[in-house]
Amino acid sequence: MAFDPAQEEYRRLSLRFARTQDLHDPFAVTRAASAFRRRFAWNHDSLPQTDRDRAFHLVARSSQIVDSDLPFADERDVAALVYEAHGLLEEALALDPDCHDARRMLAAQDCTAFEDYYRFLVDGLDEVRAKSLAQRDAIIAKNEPGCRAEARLGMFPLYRWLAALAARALVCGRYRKALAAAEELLALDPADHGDVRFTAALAYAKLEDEEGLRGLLERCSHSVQGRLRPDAWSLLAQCGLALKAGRDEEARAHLHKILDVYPHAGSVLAAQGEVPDGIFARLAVEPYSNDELVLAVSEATVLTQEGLDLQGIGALGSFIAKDAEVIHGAMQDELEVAAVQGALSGRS
Amino acid sequence: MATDWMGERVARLVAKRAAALGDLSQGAVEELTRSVREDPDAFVDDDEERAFALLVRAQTTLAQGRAEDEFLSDDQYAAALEDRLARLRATAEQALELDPSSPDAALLGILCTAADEVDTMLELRALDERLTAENPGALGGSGDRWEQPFARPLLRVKAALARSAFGAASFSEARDVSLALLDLMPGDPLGLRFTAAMALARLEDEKGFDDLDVRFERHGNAWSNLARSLMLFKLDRLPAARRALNGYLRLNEGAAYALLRPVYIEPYLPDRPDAEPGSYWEAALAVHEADPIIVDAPDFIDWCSDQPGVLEQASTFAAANGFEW
Repeated sequence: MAFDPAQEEYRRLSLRFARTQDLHDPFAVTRAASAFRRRFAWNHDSLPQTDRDRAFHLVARSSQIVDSDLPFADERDVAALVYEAHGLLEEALALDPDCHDARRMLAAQDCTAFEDYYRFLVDGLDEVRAKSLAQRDAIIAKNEPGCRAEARLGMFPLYRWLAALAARALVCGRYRKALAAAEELLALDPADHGDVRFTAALAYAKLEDEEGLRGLLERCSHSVQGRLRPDAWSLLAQCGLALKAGRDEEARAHLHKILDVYPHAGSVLAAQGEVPDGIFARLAVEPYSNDELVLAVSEATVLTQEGLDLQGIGALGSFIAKDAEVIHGAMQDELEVAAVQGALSGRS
Repeated sequence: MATDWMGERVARLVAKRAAALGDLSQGAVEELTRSVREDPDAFVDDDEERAFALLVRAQTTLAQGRAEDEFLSDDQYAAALEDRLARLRATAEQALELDPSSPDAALLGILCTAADEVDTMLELRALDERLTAENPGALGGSGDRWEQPFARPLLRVKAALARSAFGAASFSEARDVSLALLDLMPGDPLGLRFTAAMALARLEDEKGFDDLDVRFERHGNAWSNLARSLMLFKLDRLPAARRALNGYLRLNEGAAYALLRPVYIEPYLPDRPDAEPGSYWEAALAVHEADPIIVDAPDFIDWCSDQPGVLEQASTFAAANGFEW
């Protein structure tokens, strides 16, 4: 599911727009929907919106810059983009002082030490939680059409705060804290819009708590929709736990499941690269895509790189990199890339 | 706090000779012990003891070599270490030729040849399984098993397994093996409570950590204080983590320096080297063993540096001892 800022803004504004329309028959609904789409794309500012909506729009633009544009930007443009993203967030905060996303993303940009951002998230949590819950209750109390959906959207900044806290605690080596944040979020949002269970799976693996991990996966298999196959985070966590306990065959089975589920998994598992965290939330990618595996492997480095091995890539890291099927998969991927490149250059 | 190799050799030879003679009085055993101590070689009747004698001699040479290390330059030290390992490998091979089932020779061989901690752990797991299968009753009976000389080799193998499991990131295994060994050896001659404390801290198991602490009557040491500070830092209870850190800093000379400027510690072959309680060297060993937790909590060392007096203690110690700062 993950959080996609553009999509979220679309939902916020469409909800507000719908309230201004007379939607008595299906024809009116269709007409209103197409009018909304047109105005969202071409005349965004003409849509009815509050300062909070405008602030979120700036957050979405800033996210686009940092999470999508920056990684591919020319070195010379980086400083300007960072400056622009920063400015948008400050503007958002000026419009809506309770724009938790903007406040959090500014801190993520400004904090240099792991610990500083963690501390910021811990220190701010009580306030963000109290304000978010009060806002939710107020929206529901108004009992307007669509108020449930609006109340849920209003909780997303808190969900992202907790998800960011869980992820940061994991990186800081605070596994029980990571689990506390993740479990609080799962209790608030059993459908797990932010996929915080992925972070929790890694934290359980770090604590070598097999029972905890089993319980998490079992609970989430009922409450989370649309995930029919196991995901890379839980497979990596299970693989790591089995390996730690000396159950190599089981570890290999989990690893090979990743190769079954994810396309071109061999090259990702062989390289074990790291990518920067999304600033808005974990980057929204297609479930079971190669991109999703890249994110999972990157987040799992806290697990894969543990343990002193000769190559310096950790006990689990070297187990994965040495696996015959992973190596074979990586070679296949390389051959495919070479074939595509060959075909392209042949054509040009 | 480590194996008394010569004493162990005497105990083995006395036990074997006494068993051969049968039903000796206490006085006779004492007399026999005196004789064995004077000339142990005269009491060696089998290859098992010939192999053990080789290993004891190697340990004596190892200790002497280490005593001379401090006068060496870095390059000379690296060469001396390589030379030591090569000689120990050769001794282990020789001992295994004499006694293919010698746990100590196999253990030493693994520690001198394994590529890394992961490799060491895997080989020690296999060795432990094999030895336990070959002699299921080896650690049977009651009382402190360390008092039984023929149980000691397997106890040493398991202790090395606990430490290598910790280094190879199998923390539950490190904890389980250490705690099981503490049940078998309540006197804890091999310092398993240190490894257990580190594993429990890494697993953020506060209850387990506290139980262990109570078991040893809350006698703090470099390992337990450092491990407690790390655990509480990980649990984000910073005032308590600070108190534990202060405990660590108070107990050992140069503790701050040891923490902020970790030094290379050579592999334990097979035991942790002796260290004077409260010494800098003891703190250095504790910091070395804590490394897998420290790297896992990336801001811990910076946090320590920020605590009042830590940098000052470290630089004062460095200046007083001619260490670089």
